[in-house]
Amino acid sequence: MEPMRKHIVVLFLLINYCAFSQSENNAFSRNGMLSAQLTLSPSYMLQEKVGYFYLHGNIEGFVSENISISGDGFMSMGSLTSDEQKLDYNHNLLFGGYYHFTNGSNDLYAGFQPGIAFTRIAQTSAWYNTQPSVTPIISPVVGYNYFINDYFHFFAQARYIYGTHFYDEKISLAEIRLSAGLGFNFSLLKLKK
Amino acid sequence: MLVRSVLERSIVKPLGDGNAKSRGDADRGPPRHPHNFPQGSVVLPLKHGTMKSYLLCFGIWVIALGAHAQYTEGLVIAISQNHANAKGWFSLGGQSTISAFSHDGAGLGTGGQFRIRISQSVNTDWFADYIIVGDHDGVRSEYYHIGWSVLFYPLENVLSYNRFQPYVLAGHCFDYNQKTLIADASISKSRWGGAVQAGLGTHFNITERFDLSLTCQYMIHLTKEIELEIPGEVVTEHEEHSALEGHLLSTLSFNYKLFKLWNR
Repeated sequence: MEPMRKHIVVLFLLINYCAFSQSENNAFSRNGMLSAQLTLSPSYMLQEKVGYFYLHGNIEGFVSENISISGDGFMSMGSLTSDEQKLDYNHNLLFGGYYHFTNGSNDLYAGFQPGIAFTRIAQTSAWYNTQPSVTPIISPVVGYNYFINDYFHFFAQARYIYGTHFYDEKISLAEIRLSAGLGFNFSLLKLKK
Repeated sequence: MLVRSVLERSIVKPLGDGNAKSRGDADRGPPRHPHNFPQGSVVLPLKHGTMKSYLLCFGIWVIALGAHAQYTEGLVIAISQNHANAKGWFSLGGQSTISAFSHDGAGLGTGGQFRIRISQSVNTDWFADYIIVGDHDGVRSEYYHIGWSVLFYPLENVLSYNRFQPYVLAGHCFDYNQKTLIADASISKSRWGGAVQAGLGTHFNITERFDLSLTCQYMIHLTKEIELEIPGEVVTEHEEHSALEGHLLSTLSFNYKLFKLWNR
């Protein structure tokens, strides 16, 4: 399929999605829902051109049908390849809000998260005593959830992370990360009842 | 070679009558396009990359429009009611800040804030943030701010539709600045101080309780600026000097109204 046609199909699906969002009531209620996810997340550092992977944990609370507050943590697990890695570790903590475009069990969302990165340059012969550092980062996020029932959902998420490490050496932390897997969810409002 | 590459990536629109000359084939004959459009086609100066961007923007706009249409009716009523009874709200959120026009360079910061709305036209914002500013002369400059601002909504009683709530703000903060040589952490100097800030901004009310806010403010430090003097590669002295210096802070924040402190 030629690229232009692909784009038109994607656009058509998006328009349909919005139309359904307007016309259908949400049978699946998200207000008061708490969800949690844990997965492995591969990434690619845009400037360093190195792939890493992370243990990605997330806790998200829905404060209304369309708004959720989300806290995310990424723990460095190493490099995706055998190439020498520039960073010894790059752990992240992020906190932000998402807006959800919901349609029944489907949930497309976008948002942004301010956060901090705990980073340290790998110790090599050139850098033998590197400093641990705290660096501000920002992360726009897009993702999709499919809620199977009141307790489980599938998720897929892509995020861009922007920040610069300024300790020992200037290193861009610009990175794209992908996460997907099975998440857990339950309604706090139902628990109250 | 470059011209051919651009031509091959161009989008070709067939006219059918074969009279018009394409821009590209005036000198070179028929364009070598993979789709083999007939002669007389018009080559539009649009690359696939540009078209992709347009489609992406259009897609995002359509999603936003869908969401807008879905919620506008209820939202206008809800926001209007909320604004008529706006006093006492306590909201909590996080922020990202870009620092620019500083003599140190540009940088990025992160932080959090809470707000207490004291009247329909006046809000207060209490914030803390941490900003790292660029590597001017190989020096890292870190700012820690903790302070408060008063937000005044001049159009609160003028706008009937309050999706956007513009405001002017002014306030004060305490700041701690530390400058360190990036390549050698032992060379460092710091100071405590105060600062004042003022600027403009707007809330974008996504729902009656959740908003994104964009603020641009200039922060002037009221204390001596510290400098690490680096003649050549050797740091010889630390210097302090008085100057009315500061930085422009552009902040994007999210805020959620948690509960009412009074006027329930």
